[in-house]
Amino acid sequence: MLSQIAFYLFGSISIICGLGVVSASNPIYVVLWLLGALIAISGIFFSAGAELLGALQLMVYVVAIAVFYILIITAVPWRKLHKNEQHNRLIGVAVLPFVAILYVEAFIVALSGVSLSKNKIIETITKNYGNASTIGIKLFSTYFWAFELMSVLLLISMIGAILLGRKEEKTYD
Amino acid sequence: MIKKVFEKPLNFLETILFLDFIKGMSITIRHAFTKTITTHYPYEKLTPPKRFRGFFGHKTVNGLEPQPVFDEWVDRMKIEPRPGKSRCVVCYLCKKACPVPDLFEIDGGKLENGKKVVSVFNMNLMLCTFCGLCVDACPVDCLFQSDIHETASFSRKDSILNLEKLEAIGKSWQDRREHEPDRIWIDDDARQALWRENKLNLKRVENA
Amino acid sequence: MSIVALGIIIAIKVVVILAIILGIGAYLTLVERKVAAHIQRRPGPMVVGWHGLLQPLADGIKLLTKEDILPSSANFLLYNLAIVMALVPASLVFAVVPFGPEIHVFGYDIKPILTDVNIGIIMAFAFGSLAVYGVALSGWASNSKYALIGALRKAGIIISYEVVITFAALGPIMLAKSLSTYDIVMAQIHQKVWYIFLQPISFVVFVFALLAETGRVPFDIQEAEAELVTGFTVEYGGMKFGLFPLVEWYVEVLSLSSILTVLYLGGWSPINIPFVGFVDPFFFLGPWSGFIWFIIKVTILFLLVLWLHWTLPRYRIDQITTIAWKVMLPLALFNILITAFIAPLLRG
Repeated sequence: MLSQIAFYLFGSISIICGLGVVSASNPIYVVLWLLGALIAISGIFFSAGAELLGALQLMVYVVAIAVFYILIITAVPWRKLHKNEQHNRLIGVAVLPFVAILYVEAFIVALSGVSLSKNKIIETITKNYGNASTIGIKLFSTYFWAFELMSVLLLISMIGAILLGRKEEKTYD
Repeated sequence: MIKKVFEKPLNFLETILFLDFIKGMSITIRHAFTKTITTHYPYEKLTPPKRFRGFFGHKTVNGLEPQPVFDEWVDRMKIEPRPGKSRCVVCYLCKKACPVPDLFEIDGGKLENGKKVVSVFNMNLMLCTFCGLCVDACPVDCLFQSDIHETASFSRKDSILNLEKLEAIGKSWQDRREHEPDRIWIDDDARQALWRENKLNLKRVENA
Repeated sequence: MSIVALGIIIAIKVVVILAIILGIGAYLTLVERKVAAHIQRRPGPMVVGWHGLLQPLADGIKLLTKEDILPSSANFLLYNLAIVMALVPASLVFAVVPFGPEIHVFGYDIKPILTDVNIGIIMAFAFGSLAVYGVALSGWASNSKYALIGALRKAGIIISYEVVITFAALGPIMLAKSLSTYDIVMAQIHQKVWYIFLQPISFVVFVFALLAETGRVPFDIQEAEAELVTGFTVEYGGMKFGLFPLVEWYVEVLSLSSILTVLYLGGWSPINIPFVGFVDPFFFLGPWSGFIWFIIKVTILFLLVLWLHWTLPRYRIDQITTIAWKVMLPLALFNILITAFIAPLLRG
């Protein structure tokens, strides 16, 4: 009961914040709405009992990633960034079918009631070992191949970023 | 040519043991537990040195005037010297010396015997930079700078010194400090303590 | 335990924690001024009360009665929102700090921790670094170059040192095999060793990151007085100005010191002889001696931070990021490597 109320509360907050992200015209407000949406989503994780995911959502998305947006947007004169004429409406219309497919998928999932595992294996693991162990076990057994692939991809992108961002050697006198 | 001087860099062991941090921190912790050297200002005050350039004053006629200059100027300007009153001979040299045009307001009054005395002497200290050029210009050692340094006031009126105020400042200064030997630091006990902290052993001046 | 009793207990805990944060935070200004003064051989505030004991009250009244000024081209909403966004996350960190052992009061077993979530450490770091938004928004909203530069510098520091502090904390987490703050302390008590003895490298890295995240010397470039006046607080006045240093210099230092105590100094446990046991001079207080030890440890850490603050000069911004990425992060990773060998040897 309590978790249901929390879910609907956080869900509605995240939807409102999402609407704010696409409708606000001042870029700094856009980032603030985005921040609110991300925090509300981490609240959904918490109310669903996935504390580790919620905390990582807070730490990675809210702090580490959104702060880069703030960093960049505050450094740019914001009156130039003001979205006075919308030139991306066409893209928005083009995206609409895909969004509709997403909603249909969510609807089907909600109807058919998909759970993470049959026979409540995950639930017993969570009870016995806690949140972090469960995710660790899942990552290093079922999804091991995908996990390793992701790590290699991240490594490649990191090396690429360093190569792109590197300047010629400069020394301070 | 610029000569570049570098500190001897810390070696590897000193760096990982934070030797520079520890050196500095040992100094500060030693200072933290020694006695404080502050003067608690509104409750304790240090006496400024005699040459301090504070508020202005008029020295009064008390027999200690610089002679024979004072008598010459009195004759030249036909001044009536009155004991206990200002030594001013109304020569306007301070007004001439002052870099600010409107700071001084000086006028002399005639007595019945045909001699002059100073009647108006206003100084607007709102304009003053306390440079002391007027004091250097004064031929009879009348205008001087006293040791009064707490000059804040609640209204602008108070920053204008008139003849009475100048004479009062001069009289009190003459009573307190006229006979003091002229040196930069006085033998104030608190000040002595401060100087001893710096390991500068100042000689005590006898017969103050 | 009925739901009413649970609610009352949680409410009491919240009130106690908030009172501690805000009350102690205000009085820490006096402690800081006294320590700074004595390091510079001054007596510090002496007039209001005995040795200036009522000075924080006087400061508070002064700040509250000051005129509230809004810069003409500042963003009103964000200008005020920034204060809230600085204060709230910093005080939320205390939700996962265990102040003492489990105590038995009025027939209830009470853990002196607001929520014993099983990922408490991650929560602490997440909330602690959320405070960067307060700084960044205040710098942007007050529409001043000084404030903006200060805010950008602070954001740069936080991004660098958030990575470092997390990797440094991984060492104790691996040794304790838990992410819960309460369990980490219990693990140290069971293994009879403070993790500072097993993790000296990680401890030093953590202290550096603590100084950087809280904007203390030698990392205080975001409010470097010589260049930036006071950085991001330059356009604020009155109590709004007073809140930022309160949050950044006192509440955050307190919270991170508490986390440091939990991770490395055994939380509420008494003096430790490694692998032998604990020596408790306050044994006559029973379970309450734990609270005394926790307070003593956090106080010592806070005084250490003050001592560093009033001794050292400040780094340049490029030196700070260089230290973060080229020295501290490799050190923390190296420490994780060593810990992976040590951890299986510990029982518990």
